Amino acid sequence: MGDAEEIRPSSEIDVAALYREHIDGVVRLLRSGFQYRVRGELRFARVQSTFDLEDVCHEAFKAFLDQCQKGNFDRDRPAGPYIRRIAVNIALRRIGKASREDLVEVVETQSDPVEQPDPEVEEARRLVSEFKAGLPELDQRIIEGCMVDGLSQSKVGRQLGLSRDQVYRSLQKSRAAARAFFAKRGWFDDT
Amino acid sequence: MTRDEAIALIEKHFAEGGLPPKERETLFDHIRSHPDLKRLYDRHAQIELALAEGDHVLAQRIASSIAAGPATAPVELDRPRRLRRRAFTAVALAAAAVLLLVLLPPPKDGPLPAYDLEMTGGRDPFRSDPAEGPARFGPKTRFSALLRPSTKVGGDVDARAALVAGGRLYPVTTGWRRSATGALKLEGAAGELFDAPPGSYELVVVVGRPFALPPPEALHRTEPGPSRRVLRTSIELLAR
Repeated sequence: MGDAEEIRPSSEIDVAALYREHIDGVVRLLRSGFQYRVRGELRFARVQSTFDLEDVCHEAFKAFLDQCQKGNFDRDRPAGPYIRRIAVNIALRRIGKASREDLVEVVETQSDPVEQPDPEVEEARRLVSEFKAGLPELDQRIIEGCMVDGLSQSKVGRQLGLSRDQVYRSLQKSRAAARAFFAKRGWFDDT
Repeated sequence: MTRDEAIALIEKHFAEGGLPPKERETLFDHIRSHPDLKRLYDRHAQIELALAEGDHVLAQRIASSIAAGPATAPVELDRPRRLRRRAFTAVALAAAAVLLLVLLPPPKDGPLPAYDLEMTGGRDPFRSDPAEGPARFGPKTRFSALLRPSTKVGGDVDARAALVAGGRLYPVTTGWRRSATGALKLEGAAGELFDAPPGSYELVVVVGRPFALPPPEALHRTEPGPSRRVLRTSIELLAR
């Protein structure tokens, strides 16, 4: 991410804008993985659990905002690399790869070269295809618009001639139906 | 929190596409020490990601979880600062955006009528009369605010509120209940609604069409417009 895209936080922090600007970079880094050196040894790590990922992201942004409020962050510097560095350190502590005392050097950000397809992800995709095929066409189009294409509910509503409330209710209904569909096929049996 | 309550919150989180910040924090605090619940959370998330056909929704999900309130409070407010070329560009872009909005046909949701703010509860009877001084609320005192429109309002309408004092802003994260006429109500114990230390505050409320509502940290500098109304009053929070 180049400097031109970076937010340089001022004394007035638009938290929502800060998230929007930098969250993609943090999620991509933690999800795809990163190399780091600790006690002289080169290692690789990634955050696999979605819960951990969300939690680490929130904690990283919160820590960054705390640093801003305490005046510990030079506001002429780009914020992105600083937030990502905080996120990496929190992630390493969270997944037990480094302690607070370790000096961690992030060497390079890249995906694990030996990454294998995750069978759980493959199974979820197969079940979702089956589930979507059984939905009415309108509900399928709402899922495509809101969830796959990432459009706002209002925009999808305008495209389909529906109100935002109707789109919202359809999404809620589809999510509940998906959960029931997966539960019936044993998706939650080991939890 | 019991296991059943945590499971119910996880299900709500994924059924509704997110939780209010306080509920989310309570749930996450609980899950951190319960690996079985983390597994359940991840299994729900896998369905969500599969429905979206990829991980690209993850960032959006995380960012939208602060839509009802920032991850940290309070937020420090305006201070004088150096003008930069970037600021001029931002102002020019904002002006162009405003001009575009003015020139475009009005959105489906029309302008709003005037709204009145009525507060009840507090240690002293209160009715927005400055002569009586601000309403005073202890942590357990019941607070109720009613936003009443001068005429019936159709379409979506919502409200956001925050306490402002001493250059700091404390967003109210509890949601408002809406009636069929477009009135909105916020009520609860003051200590639960306001995450702020004792003191005197200005309560800023913005009521408007959802697209016209500012982010919580910008409430204090929001100007009224056809699609939103801004109401202000004073309250005092007591230590006990």
